[in-house]
Amino acid sequence: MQAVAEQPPPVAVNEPAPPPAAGRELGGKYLTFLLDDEEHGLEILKVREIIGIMDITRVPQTPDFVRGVINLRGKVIPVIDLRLKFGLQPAEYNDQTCIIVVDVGLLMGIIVDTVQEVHDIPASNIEPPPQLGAHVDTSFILGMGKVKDDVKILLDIDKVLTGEELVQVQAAVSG
Amino acid sequence: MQTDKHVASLIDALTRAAATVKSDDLPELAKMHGWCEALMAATGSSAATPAAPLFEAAKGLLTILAALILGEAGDEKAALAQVAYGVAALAELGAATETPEAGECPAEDDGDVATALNRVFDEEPAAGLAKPATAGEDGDDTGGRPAVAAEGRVPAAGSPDPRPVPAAAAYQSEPLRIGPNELEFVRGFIPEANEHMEAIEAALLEVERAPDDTEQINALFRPFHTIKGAAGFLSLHDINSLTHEVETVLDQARKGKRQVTPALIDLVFDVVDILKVQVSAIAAWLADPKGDVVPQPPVAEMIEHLRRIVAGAAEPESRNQATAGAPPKLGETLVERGVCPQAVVDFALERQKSDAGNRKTGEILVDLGAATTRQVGQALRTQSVPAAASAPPARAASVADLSVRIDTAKLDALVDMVGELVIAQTQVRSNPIVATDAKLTKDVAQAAKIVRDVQEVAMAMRMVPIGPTFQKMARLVRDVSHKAGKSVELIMSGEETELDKNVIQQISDPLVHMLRNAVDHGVEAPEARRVAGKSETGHVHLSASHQAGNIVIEIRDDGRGMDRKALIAKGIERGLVQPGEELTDQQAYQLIFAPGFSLAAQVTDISGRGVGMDVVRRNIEQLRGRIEIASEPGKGSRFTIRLPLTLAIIDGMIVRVGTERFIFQTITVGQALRPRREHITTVQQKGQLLDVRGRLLPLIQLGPLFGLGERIDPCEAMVVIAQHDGGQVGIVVDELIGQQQVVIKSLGERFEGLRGVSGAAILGDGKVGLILETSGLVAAHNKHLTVQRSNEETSRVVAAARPSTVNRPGVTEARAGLAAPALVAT
Repeated sequence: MQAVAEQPPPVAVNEPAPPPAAGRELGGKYLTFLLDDEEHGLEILKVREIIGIMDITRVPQTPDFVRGVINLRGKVIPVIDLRLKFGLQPAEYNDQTCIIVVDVGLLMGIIVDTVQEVHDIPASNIEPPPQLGAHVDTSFILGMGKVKDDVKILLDIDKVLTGEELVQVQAAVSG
Repeated sequence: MQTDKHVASLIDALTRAAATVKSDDLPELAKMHGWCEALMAATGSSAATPAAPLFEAAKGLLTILAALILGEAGDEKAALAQVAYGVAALAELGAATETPEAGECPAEDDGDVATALNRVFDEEPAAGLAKPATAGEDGDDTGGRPAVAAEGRVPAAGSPDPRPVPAAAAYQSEPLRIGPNELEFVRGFIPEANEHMEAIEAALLEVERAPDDTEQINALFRPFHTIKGAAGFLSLHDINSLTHEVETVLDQARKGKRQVTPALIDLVFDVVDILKVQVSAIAAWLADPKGDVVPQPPVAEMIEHLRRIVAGAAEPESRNQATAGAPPKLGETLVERGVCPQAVVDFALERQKSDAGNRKTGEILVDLGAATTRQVGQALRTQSVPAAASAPPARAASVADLSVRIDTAKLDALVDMVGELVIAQTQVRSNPIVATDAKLTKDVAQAAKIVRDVQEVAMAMRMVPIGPTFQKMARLVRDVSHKAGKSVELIMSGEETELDKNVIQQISDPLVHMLRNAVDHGVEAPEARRVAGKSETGHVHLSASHQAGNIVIEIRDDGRGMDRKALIAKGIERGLVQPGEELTDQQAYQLIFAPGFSLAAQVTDISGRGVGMDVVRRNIEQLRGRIEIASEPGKGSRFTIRLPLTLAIIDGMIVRVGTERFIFQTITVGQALRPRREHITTVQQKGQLLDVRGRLLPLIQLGPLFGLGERIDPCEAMVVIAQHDGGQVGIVVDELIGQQQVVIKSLGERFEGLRGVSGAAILGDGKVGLILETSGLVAAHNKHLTVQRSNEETSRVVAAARPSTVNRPGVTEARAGLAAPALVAT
């Protein structure tokens, strides 16, 4: 189904980003991964495991970034395509594609292009998220982490995954 | 003194009134209430300490009186007896305070009276006042039983204070009869009591070690109290009285009024022994009920002994003072019983010496793991108990030991894991390599058989009979019919039918609502029944049975039945039914499940708010069951609930739609067929209909509905006929894959709002399949059609020139994926 193109990008809430890192120690270990050639990172403490792409069962009535559910050794967990979640172009899955299983209160899988490595990024090397104007939502960015000459987008994965309902109930029809 | 005179006159008035007052004499009770208040005012303000017990006593009395006045006293007779006792105690106290030499009156005794009266109040729940707060069981089941217990205890057995009953009254043991309704509860009481007795023994050893530790005495107190409560509730008179008396003794110890001596500990051990014999006698009778009187070993002697001790007329005496607490004896006993070898005992004794001798041998042995607390306790008891009393019937003990109580979380985990095992087993068996080797095939088949057995046992562990739930309903029907001024007899059958524990928990609420409805709306008032030529007493049948792997619960009444026309009229009024729409009987009856739907002209306190049946359907759907209604005007209605045996595993029918596989619950599937072209009717705006033996069923296309693909031509594929709310629909699928038992997995909170999908299951190949839920599918389908229709109307308005596109797949899909509020604002 290609009708999804008509949909507004799923993340369209544009409230001014509150300082996300207030009172939070940002330094630490981050797992970095690639998404549309852009390097991202997420706190290693949130990561449960990394698995290769596998068969995903689609779930109806969900936004397209929800790819469906997988069987993680007997547990059924939802899987989200981070590309689609961020409104990027969908990509074909290949043997580089990974599912990172994260614990955000419950287990969820996120699909990324490829997993890179774990970096220890001290707080001094992390800068607050940039203000990119009203039309770019930066609320789920913890900060920008500098490793040598590279800059990695550090994600607040809890905000990314729990901010929105997964089930799109069709608009209520009275009667 | 002015105050004293005032107090004395108030007590006098109370005493006179208490002698004659009746439980329904409200003015008199109110007067007594007033006097009590005045008494509290008089004694509370006086700073003199001797008056403090009076204040406390009056307060206790006031509460009982208030309960009587408000009609909250479950058993008025017992409550009145408590009032009489309270007033007598007040009079005693009053006399004590009036004595010029009040100081001479032993303070300890004053406290006792207040304590005793407070205890009267403490025990009031167990004695039938207000809410029965007995351990373990629901208040619903008391049914008037407490009367026996309370009467037995309050005036005679329940007077721990020596003065109101000066000489300890001789204890009369009553023949114990256990009614058929109580069997289950008593059976449950046995392991519970045994558990508490073990706790008592353990606590006793602790108390022995640290006699001054009130926390330990409290720990001893609690299990006795629980046994007492449960025994009172179950009318186990002897056990109740015995525990009550020993509790009184312990209470004195707890309050520091009695020293904890080895002799006292021996005494409590003796009591536990007698309790054990009592409990095992009941257990033996339960295992083999002969005669209607349960044989009970004598307790009167011990009860009287305890009463004398409480009254200060006797002291606990160790029958073998010389040996009590003498460690070698314990060691000998243990060796003799083969609990532990002599060498271990020697070692323990040695250690005891090096520990400066302040620990007991038994304790050290327990610490060493050489003996259990229970063994030590038993050995200790043989030291002080005559052999005859300490030998409980062995057979009975083994009966009680037959059950183990397990945390349900552990059971759930076991069932989950067995589910995984079944899947793993299925995967192994479907491996093609297996078929190539005869030995392997045989072994795998054998393993499969064992796994199946394990699964069955695991499931059976969760099963409990529905009987106790039914018993609660009996009480409910009685209450509701009295309230409604009707005479209704509830006839139950199949109480022994076993259901999953989780199912039982969730079925209780729906049953309450349905029975309430049956009594309130179904059964007519007596006059109306007479006019209709029926017996004045209405009948409600409640039955449970197993049918074809399902549990069937049926509620049937012989009342007025349901009025189809009235239901439809109300449905039209509420906008649930379109005027002129043809409804089947089932569809009409199912209207009662709509939220807020009620035919009652008036909301009564029993029913009529239209909330109940909505809850019924929701609960039953959560249990993956369904409910059918049959009714005949003037003859009555029948509600049939079909439930799966368990919540953890379902029999599933696996189907393929496009690339996805879905699971139907086999219970909801009527049949599957490949339709012929002439049986399909395409109705504009309503999609396709399938003619199945003259009935037109709507066809649901999962592809477009779920946004998974094109619609399927039903004549090239299969149609699964599924049940929903008493109606049927056809669901078009590409292929039937097969039937399989699947373990149900929740999709989790993130997918809570999903319609038409009730959960997921892991299929034989390890992939996840979604379980379809028909009612939700139909709702989603209807909404889908509406969206489609309004889209179409919009497009007609916007682009009138465009040809109608009812079933153009692209459009359908786009709309399905779209939450297009603007388009469907109606």
